[in-house]
Amino acid sequence: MARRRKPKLAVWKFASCDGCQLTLLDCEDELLTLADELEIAYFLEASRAVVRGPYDLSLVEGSISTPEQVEQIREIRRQSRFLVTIGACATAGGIQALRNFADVREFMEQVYARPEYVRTLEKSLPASAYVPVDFELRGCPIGKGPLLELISAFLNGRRPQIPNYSVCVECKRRGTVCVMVAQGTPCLGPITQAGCGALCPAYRRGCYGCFGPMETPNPHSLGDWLLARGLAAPDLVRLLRTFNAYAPAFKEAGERYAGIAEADRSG
Amino acid sequence: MPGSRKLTVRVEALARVEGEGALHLRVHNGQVRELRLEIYEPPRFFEAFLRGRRLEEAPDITARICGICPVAYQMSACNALESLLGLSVGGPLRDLRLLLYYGEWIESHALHMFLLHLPDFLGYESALHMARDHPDWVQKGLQIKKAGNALMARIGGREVHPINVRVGGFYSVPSRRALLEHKEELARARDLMIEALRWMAGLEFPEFEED
Repeated sequence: MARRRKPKLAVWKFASCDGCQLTLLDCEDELLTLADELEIAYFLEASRAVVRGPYDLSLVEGSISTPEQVEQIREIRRQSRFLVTIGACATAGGIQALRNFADVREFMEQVYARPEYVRTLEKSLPASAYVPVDFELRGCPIGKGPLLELISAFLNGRRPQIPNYSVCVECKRRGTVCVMVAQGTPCLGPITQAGCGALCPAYRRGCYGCFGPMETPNPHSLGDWLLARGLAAPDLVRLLRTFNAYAPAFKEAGERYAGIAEADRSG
Repeated sequence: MPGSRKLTVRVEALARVEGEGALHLRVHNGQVRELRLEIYEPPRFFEAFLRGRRLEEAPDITARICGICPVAYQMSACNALESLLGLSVGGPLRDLRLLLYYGEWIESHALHMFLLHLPDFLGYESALHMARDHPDWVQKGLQIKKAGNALMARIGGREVHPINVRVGGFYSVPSRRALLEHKEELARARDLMIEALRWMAGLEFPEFEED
């Protein structure tokens, strides 16, 4: 039987740090096997070979933050059978979505001597703000395990098995003592999606939410609990506003506690 | 160059580099008429959104400037803030920081040498294409890279955007025994690197001429 055509993989970069793409190259033991199974059709960080679309699987890193990128993500969608976002930037807007809570013109003037050279959008948004997305791989950065699971699911025509429960479940499995209960350290674990292996609590620090909100989180319960135990409202807002600040559940909770912080200040 | 010759090179997107850029080169009769490097990497405004953050947050936020060298940013943030606070981190903590940094250097240098640059010297589109003819060197490069990544993951928690670095030191320190587990892998990587350097030193480097 003739061997079927290798599926074409494309890896795209938007506003990002390259860390999620690097995670693919960090699969040192699996990389050459992957290259046997897939045709690397577009992956500038790794190869100058550029094969024309359409592509079977497009992995998208980075947030959409310029007018050119809006056009590009639409073109990529047209060219891709499956479009999967990799990481917090492509999935939720990333750290650069902090501009969404501020005035981007003021940001430009602060950072660039000649802001007129800079073209950017007012908001840094996820790919899903512009095009339909087939799957979102979480994390800042994504993990090697979930990435390999995603690619292997794609190759075998099944759904990827990525947990949607909270980091707390991973902490319990790992046998890590709860940093909130034992040390009083604020931790986003109860509302953050698993996938990192509950790394931060294992290193005796609170989770900072780099995998974004879990499915059906209850950030108000966690937030009120933290406030009642002495965390200042502005610190709670900052905790919610890092790498997934614009993910809907974190965004909404951040706005709620920013309102409380504002009321405290003027109250 | 003999006669009247025009040469135009337009690379719309440079491959196998960190970040994004395009290159435009126009040569006429051997004279460079135009050389333009365009960096179209979009702005992200780190300097602006760091304002108003707690100093403890700076190392994790600045790490996201680059996922290929996050430790460099974490260390710079820590050094800057520690110097502002009049803190000095010395002794074993400093050694541990250096060790984490070495992990990044090993990983990042192996990435650049074997996966990003070597394909240019040997005339391949990528290290994956190169692996068909030079599987040994690609495998060796990946093993060196992996040894660096393993050290980073041990001390920092993970390879990209380690979570263990903080102003003043670390959140948690590994045991001596845990670190010693890396000894053999690192020694093997060192031997492979020496072997690789001997081979790479024999590759043809283009002559560099200054104007």
